[in-house]
Amino acid sequence: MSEEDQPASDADGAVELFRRLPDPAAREELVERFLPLARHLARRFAGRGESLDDLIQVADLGLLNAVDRFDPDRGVQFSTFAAVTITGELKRHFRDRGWSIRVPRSLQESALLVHRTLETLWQDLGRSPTITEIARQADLTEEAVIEAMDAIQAYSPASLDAAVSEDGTAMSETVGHADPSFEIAEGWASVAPALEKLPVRERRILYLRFFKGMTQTEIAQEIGISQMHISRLIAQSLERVRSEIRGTAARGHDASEPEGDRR
Amino acid sequence: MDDLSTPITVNVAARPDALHILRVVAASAAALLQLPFDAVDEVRIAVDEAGILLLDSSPDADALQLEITTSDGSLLITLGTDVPATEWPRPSDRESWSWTVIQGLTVNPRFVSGDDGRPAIRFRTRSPMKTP
Repeated sequence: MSEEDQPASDADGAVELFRRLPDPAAREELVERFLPLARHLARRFAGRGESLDDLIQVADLGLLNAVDRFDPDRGVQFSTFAAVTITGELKRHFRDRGWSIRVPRSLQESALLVHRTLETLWQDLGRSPTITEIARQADLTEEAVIEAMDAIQAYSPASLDAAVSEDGTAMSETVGHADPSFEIAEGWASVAPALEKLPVRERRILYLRFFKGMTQTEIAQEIGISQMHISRLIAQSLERVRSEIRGTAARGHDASEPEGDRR
Repeated sequence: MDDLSTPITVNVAARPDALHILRVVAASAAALLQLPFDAVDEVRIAVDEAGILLLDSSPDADALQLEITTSDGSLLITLGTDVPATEWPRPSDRESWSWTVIQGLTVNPRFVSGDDGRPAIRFRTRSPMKTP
């Protein structure tokens, strides 16, 4: 059948493949054919505080959902249905992974502007920019940039640890493993159990920062994610370790109390 | 601007929700020295950790006092409380997660005591990396 003969609902050539489902080869071909659409939509959501890697993975999952849910008899092009489904997944991702505390909208906007500007300057300058440079580029006051720094930390990046890359490899496996000396380094031995509970990537970031003495910029280059992302991961990892230590201490305290003293 | 001609001194309530004021002040001082963004970010973290440690060790404190001066192009930051401590630092303070982090992010961190035994933490920021 020539392209001109295809019904309007099959302009993207997907119907024939859907007719062959549940043939795994057909499913795989569908996914491969529409992967560029998923990547395109992911990039449209970039620059809003989430890493592109995260967004691509969300979009890819959205595509898989679209393939599983599409009904070729409804007279809708798959590409249209997939675009709506993938966009919905991306929006849901932002809703679920968004601001962890209530931040005024104006401050959210400043924070995201600072985030984007930092990424741009970081690429352009090849180093971490100063607050003055960020303020000048973003057309904000230096005070606004500094205020935004706190707000940026309230914006949670998605965990890549649980995510899966294109070839099915967990992202955490792609960034290497923390040096074993991390666990036994003086001063850190007591928190080793808490560190063990961090995703591998976060442990590696702490190792590079605290034991290798690398700057955030150097770590960002080493790991392959933005400096802002490194900043947030460091802050969140420190807090997670603290929470874990406190939780362990509290559990130990409870366990040591006589039964009758527990509340 | 490479120097703070007058030391910065700020007093806030000894409460966790007041720490963000100290973070902002410290970050502003670091920005005056034209420190790069990542260094400013870590000054904020170090001040935050010092505040957390002091709040934990001095539950009777009413206020936290932050003092910032410049020395050799870096910031000398001292954060203390307003009430004397019977023991400072406690062994648990030296072994705390906050102290571990402060040691990793700053230069020559120290537990210090004021004239009347008020506990404080003092550290220097890393040397500024001048922008071209």
